[in-house]
Amino acid sequence: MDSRSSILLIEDDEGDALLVREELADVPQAPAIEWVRSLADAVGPLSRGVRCVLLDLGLPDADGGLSTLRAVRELAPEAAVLVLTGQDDEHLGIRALGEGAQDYLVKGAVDGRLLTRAIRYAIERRRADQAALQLREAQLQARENARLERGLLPSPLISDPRLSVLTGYRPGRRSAVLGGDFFDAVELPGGVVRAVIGDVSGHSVDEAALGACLRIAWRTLTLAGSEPAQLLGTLEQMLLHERHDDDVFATLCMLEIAADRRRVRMYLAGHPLPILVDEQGVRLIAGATHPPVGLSLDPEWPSVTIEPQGEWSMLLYTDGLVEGRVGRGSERLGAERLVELVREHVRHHAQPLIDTLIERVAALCAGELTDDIAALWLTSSA
Amino acid sequence: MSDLPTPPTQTADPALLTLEFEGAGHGPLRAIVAGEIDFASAPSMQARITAACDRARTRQLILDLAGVGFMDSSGLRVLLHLRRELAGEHGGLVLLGPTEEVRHILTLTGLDQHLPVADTLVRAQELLRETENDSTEP
Repeated sequence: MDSRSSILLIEDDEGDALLVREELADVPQAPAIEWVRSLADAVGPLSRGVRCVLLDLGLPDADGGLSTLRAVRELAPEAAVLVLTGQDDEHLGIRALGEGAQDYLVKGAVDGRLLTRAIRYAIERRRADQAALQLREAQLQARENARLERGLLPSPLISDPRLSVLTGYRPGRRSAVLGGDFFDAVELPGGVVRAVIGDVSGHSVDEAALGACLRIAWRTLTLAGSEPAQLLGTLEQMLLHERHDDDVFATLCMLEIAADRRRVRMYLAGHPLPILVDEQGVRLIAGATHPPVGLSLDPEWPSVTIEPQGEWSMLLYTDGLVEGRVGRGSERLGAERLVELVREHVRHHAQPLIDTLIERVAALCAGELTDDIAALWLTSSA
Repeated sequence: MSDLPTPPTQTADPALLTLEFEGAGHGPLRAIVAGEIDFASAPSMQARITAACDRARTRQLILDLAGVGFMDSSGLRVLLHLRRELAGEHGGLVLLGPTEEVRHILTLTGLDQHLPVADTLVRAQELLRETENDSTEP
């Protein structure tokens, strides 16, 4: 921004306004000043953005100019404000500092050089205040994220040494807030293992909180022995009651792995298809899809049963993993290409690490991964 | 005023999405979407379509998706929102000519069973009339 044209003087007295401009006229490289007589006239320039406002506190308003100061701060929160007081009301200048002005000057007691310096100083101070504020906001955000992350991405509760669960998460590039992706895996008494991955539509702290809520409800219902179809129905009821916006829905994929690990029952609710790796190869597992959770479209929760051959692995993931842009057009990575990547990976590595896979995808999409990615890699070894 | 057809309007979106409106008067409004419906473009798309329906005083919408090269869950959220908004008397939403990419996500999410899809404009209009006559449909 051009600093020479973004200083606004709000001064009702023409003589005083002339004085300020004349003082500055003698200073080499002094900022150019735009002059308006009243707050009403200032609205236009303030909304276009100014870096510094010189405000005469003697304006005829209710409390000696302080309400004008508040109005200016509201209209141009990013501008530095320098107030001008008369000889007799310096106390107002001090009160103005409490109301957010950067500095005050007594009219007639400053020359052009000092005024120029005061303007520059006020602008710098405002900038420093804002940087400190942003830093504070970033710190609060980081703490909030850490809390949400514990809720969304827990440690799996698996004791069977022959069933390994690897998890991966990569936040999207678009914002500092975690998305609503979540996962969990729990081993029940008797050896049955349940796993879930889900994604709450939308990307604000509300969706992330709702994701954490759903994940905890899922674990609670699982540990309480709720049957899958009943569990999903309860989860839908809960989402309907807890969501902050009627448009919010969640997709999920849930697995129930039999104690002998030879059979896997899969429930899909509007979620991307998981990938199975076994002796027969690497492939997408299609199933009867129920619409996403939260739309109340279907009271039945269909499932399919998979019987993997030999040692097997399954990859569950959220759509961020397949929706990265590849190339310049609208083309995205897609599930088929993800299958290719997994195939390539298992050919070269005995134990595919999920982080490596996510990095491969990120590299292919050349940093275009705007959405969050969550992934779960389950492996049953003999 | 309400009897006059709405003139076609076109607005460009920075997020690679364009919207064009046709029709209304007494009939349904046709919103022609082209580009990518994702987290960046979805909110403004929803707002502009809702505003256009209000302006045209219609609750019947044909959403022409033949020019949509990509749609993610933010786009689904818009479709579901419009479906809910336009449900009920004299209202309805039909998707017209969705591309392979759009059909894929509709099938994947099981929503192909719940959102009416037409391949031609005539068929879309028929579907809207059927919805209107069948009050048991949500």
